[in-house]
Amino acid sequence: MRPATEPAWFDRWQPAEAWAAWRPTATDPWDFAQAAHLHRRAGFAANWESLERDVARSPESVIADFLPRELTGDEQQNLQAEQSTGQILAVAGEARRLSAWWLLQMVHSPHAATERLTLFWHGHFATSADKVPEANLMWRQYLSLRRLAWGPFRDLVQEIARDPAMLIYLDARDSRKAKPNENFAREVLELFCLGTGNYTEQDIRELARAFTGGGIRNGRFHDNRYQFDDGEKVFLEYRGPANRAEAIDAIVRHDACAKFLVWKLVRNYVADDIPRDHPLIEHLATRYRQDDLRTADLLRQIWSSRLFFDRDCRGARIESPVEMGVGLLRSLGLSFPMEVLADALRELGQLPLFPPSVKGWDGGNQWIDVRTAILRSNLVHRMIQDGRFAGEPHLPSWSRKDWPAIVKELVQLTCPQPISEQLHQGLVQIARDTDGNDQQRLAVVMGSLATLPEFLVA
Amino acid sequence: MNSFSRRQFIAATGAATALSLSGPLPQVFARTAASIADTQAAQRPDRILVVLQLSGGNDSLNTLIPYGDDGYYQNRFALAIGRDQVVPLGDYCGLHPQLRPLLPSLEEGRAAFIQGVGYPQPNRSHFESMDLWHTAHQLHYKSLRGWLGAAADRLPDNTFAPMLQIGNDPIPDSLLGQKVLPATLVDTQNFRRTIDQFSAVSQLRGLDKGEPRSNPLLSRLQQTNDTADQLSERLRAASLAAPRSTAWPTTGLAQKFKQVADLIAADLPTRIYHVTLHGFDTHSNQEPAHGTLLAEWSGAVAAFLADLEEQGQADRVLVFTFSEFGRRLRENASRGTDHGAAGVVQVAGPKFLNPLLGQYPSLSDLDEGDLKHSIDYRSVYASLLRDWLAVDPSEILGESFAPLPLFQSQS
Repeated sequence: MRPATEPAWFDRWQPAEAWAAWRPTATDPWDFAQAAHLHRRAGFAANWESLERDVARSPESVIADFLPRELTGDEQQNLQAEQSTGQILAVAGEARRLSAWWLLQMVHSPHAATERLTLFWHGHFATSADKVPEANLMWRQYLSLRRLAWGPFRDLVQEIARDPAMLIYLDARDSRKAKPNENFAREVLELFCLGTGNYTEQDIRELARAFTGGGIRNGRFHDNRYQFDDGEKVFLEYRGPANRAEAIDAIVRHDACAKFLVWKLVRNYVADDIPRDHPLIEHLATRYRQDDLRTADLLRQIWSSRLFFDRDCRGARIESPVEMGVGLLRSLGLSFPMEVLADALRELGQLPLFPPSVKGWDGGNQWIDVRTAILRSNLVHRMIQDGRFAGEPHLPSWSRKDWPAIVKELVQLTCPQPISEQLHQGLVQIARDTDGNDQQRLAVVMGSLATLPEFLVA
Repeated sequence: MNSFSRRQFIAATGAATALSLSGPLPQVFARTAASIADTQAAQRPDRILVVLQLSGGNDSLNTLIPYGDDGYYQNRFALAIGRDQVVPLGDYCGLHPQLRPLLPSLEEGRAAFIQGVGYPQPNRSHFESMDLWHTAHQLHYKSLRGWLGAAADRLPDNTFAPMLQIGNDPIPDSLLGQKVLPATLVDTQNFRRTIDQFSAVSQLRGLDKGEPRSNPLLSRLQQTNDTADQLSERLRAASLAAPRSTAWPTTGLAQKFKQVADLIAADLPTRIYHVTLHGFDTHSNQEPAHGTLLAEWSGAVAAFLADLEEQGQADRVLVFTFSEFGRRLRENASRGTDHGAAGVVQVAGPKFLNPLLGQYPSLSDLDEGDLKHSIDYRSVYASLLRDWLAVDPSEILGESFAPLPLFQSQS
């Protein structure tokens, strides 16, 4: 464990250089490992063929594929067809199966980066189906987060501030003029927009008055103007009679908002241990403000940056349970019962639609301890043992059953950092010693690989 | 040698008692100093601390109820517990009826409530306030320094699983030390790798353990995996411990406490256990949900104490129960209560000075509608560190928090 004073890998960088666009060179090339890194971070891990294909393209065009664009008619139709299953589960009130459906979307969707970003926003605006009895409201929240994920942050908060699932989750329905409920106001400032230290208890009390009168009727947001406090409120730099929407606008305009969001996004996509007040964050926040908090622009800059393609960035985050489970299925071309995966991910601490608290998932160091370390390797073992391959595992050397080469390819595909020759030999030995068919052998090899630190990072 | 010698201990005690508490010293603490200094520490180097975290902000006013104060009934309408229902502990306050299982221990002096515990400038955010409790106010970003983790770093024999969290909550920041790593257990029976029957796998685990890694993240994960292997082996050996007769409630919390009791019976060297009970953020329709939680809490702790008694380990184990804050005196419009400030801390296990420690906060002298603290929670920590775990509190909390006298001399 690093003492607090020792510099981290990202401390080497000056902000302006760190966020400048990366240009591959002969000594620092765009290669298989960088392409795997980009997929693993921006979306979810990719399979061998996609990575080989992307190495032959430029990083810019691969990044452009992750970013949102107008869908063609066919793509639109496909998306609707995929989402109709989710819709059915939602109407049927099956939140746990809806979570499994979302995991399946992450595995198969051609828009992996959108699902990944939606998962980020879900953790940011955490709402749990444990407390929201209507799965349909969770589904509508998911669609809102997905639809507004890439756009200006303001639109997203405005939507969430009227989102029935959120209001139920935070006990923020029916806040009355005489006794404003402070819970929602507190979370908007602390967890959604500004972060701690940027507002006072007095700001919370004033803001709570702007949120009075909001409720739910027939599953939709409803303003009860008789319970709205239309008097003057004074909070942050605002003074006036703000209603819900005006109050949100005032908060999003606050300087701390861009910085807080940039920090959260950089933690998710670059370094899970970067401090909130790091100069790298401040620099990017200025740009995010200029871009009117358009998240797509921010992410393009992050994914194109020299910092992102720094070799030390590879494997500098602990991989989240969802990234691990979804990534394994994608990278090997494996299928596995998603409800079983969902149960396992809950044990590992990250089941979508069921975050542990309004703070979402802390992630980082919290993901792995002795229990989850064992559960991760057990899960990897089980997924390959009980899963099914579409044809064969997607590995160039699979058909030759050349285990030294297969082990090498598995490491390239699933580990952001190389492993030592000795560990490589240890894994080859496991493949040789294991009885059973090739899939069982692969399961034990991968389960063993999953006990190594290099597998647990992303 | 790393252990805390008796001479060092007395020196530390002397220094600490020379300082005053942050608030006025309540009457009940008149018995202090030397007699208490003699009681604890260094005599048993194997004492265990079980921390129960009540997450969400427990309503201390409906836990230890000031039923002798009209101010309580003037601010609580829907939520007031009637005078005839309170389990009295003297004329002023008493227990919520669902805490009755704790009464025998309180009467025997083996349990106590510490009243009016909090800290200056109360923070009413769950996460901020919990962070303060976890890190003893040493909030700096990457500190990785929870108060319990820092204590575990200083325990004499901390090489193997000194801290265990029971249940699948995320590891609380309180357990993050600099040297030793906390671990979590959910199901002690199935704590093993499914691939561990393959001999080549154990060979790989051996290779991994010896693999030099300079990357700090990778070497931390390497250490975690190594501890996991060792713990798995120990638990398999421990599963053969003799059965006991205590009847345990079927609640989730009781099952967690039963696991702790099993691990203690199996002689695991763990010194700090951490258990969490969620659901105390009672903004609306507080009753009967709050009562149910109190029943879960008191039932689990009562069974745990009975089991330890049966094991003959009762003097070795202390349960410390806290929440990130209390709740507002005045109830809200949704038959609930909002985030407050000072609250109560509960301790159980060994002999305490008095079942009620400290003073009940005034219901008329409030801080923005909330109770004011008279005991800083760090004074409670200082006592648990010095007098229970025999760890010098000044290294963790600084010099400003004198240990609160809690214990009766075990003569």
